[in-house]
Amino acid sequence: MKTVSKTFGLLARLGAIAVALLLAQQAMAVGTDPGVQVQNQATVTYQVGGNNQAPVDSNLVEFVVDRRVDFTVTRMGTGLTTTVLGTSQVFVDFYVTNLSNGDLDFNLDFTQLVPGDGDIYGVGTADTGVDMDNVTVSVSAAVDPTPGTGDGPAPVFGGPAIIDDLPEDQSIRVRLYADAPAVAPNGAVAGLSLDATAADPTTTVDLQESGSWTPGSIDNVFANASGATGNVAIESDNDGFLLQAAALSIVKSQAVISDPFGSGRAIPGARIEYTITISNTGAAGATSISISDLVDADVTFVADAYNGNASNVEFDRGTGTNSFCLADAADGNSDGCTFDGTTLTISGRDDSIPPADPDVPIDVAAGATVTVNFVVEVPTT
Amino acid sequence: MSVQKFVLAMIGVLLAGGALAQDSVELTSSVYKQVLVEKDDGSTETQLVAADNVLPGDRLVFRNTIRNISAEPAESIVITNPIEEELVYVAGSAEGEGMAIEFSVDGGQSFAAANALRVVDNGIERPATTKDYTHVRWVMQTELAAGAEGTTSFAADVE
Repeated sequence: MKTVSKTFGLLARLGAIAVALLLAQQAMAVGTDPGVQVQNQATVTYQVGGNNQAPVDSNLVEFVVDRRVDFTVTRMGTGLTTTVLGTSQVFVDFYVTNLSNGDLDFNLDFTQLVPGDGDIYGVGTADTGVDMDNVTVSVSAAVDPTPGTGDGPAPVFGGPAIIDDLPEDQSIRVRLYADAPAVAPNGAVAGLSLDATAADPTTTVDLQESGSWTPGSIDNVFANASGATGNVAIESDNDGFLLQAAALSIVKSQAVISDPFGSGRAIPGARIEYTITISNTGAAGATSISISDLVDADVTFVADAYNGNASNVEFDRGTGTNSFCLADAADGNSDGCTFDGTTLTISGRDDSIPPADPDVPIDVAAGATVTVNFVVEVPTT
Repeated sequence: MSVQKFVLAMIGVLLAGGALAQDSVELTSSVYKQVLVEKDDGSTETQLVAADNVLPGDRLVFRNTIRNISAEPAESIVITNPIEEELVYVAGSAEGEGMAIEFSVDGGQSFAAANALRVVDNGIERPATTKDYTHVRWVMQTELAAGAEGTTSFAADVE
């Protein structure tokens, strides 16, 4: 008997929870629309001297429900979006939730954050004074199936730039597209805020807070967290990009590789190999790098040092197989290497053995090192 | 229309007009918004202010004042006030000194005390909630003397 009673109690509680959930959902979905006219008129019936008298109506009391302007902007990210310099159409996502008692439009804009705006995602995530390029706003094609989650369709580049008629208690995704700048320090943070301004669902004009009550018309009462900004309602949220750049260092060293007497000294007739070491300590790869080196007039550039005497510049890219190029005056082999008699310019390499003349750009991946070797000879005369 | 019927009709119109002119009571309605006001000492109190900006969630107080403007006492006074569908009656808020308070959940066709009201929802009968109320009425338990007045009130939230 006790057990049955407990079971019933549990079911009753579950039922109560279900009802509570249902009521909560209903509470979120309802809300008298702005402009609805509510009237109230009482009636009295009575007798005098035992005789029924004609009912008497009171005066009509009426008012128009005003517009409660309330909404939020919420970013969807959980951390800065890592982006390599120069990347196009990177994005950060937000959703805008209409908590008002009727449809609203939202005019959308963005702000480039500045260092003073503070951390975006905690310590060390403040904007570092770098701006994103070509920022645009795109709104999703449909509201979120689950309001307040941003689970609607992903906005596409070139999508609508304003939110049109977002129903009450609904949310919709908004994406800020941007191009990463071409030049910025590795680790720079470029922050953006999405700024949504509540607008009239009919005219798309920014809603102004009503200064005084106008009987019979819809007044705008700002209930959003930021209240009135100027005389309009703006809500924002911040997000940002962590920019990855290459950080190259270049070191040159030399070593005597041969001399007529095996002395290991740079005497006339000795050959000296220069090694240029390029290291990328940044977070992004460097591509299409070009190296220039002024060869001292007192030494002679050796034209047949590597690759079975077919090349004069050697690359070690850490792949286990070295590459080469042939620096000739006219760059007749188009491999990106030239030597004009004084300056060695290296902007390409040849991965083929024997050389097949392709001009392959020289890239240095993040964390990688490339060494370039060439040889000069101390003239004997 | 015969002359006889016309005359009867005119008499009816005149009687109706006469009845309007000779009402023994007058009923005045007003509405206020209930707001929470913080006082200088940090405590709060509710106040009634003009129902200017009305928003969903606002609590409104409707007040009716009945006054006997005749020289005779008025009896069997019943004041009925509809509750618009945009409003939800606030439980226990109806007041009226010397009056029995009843509610309707069927558009004013029948009335009963709050705890006696039941509705059929999707084929299942259940006790009525304040959201179901369509009308509130006050049944004055005594007569209203000549020149006397009485007040009724109730609160409702804007959905």
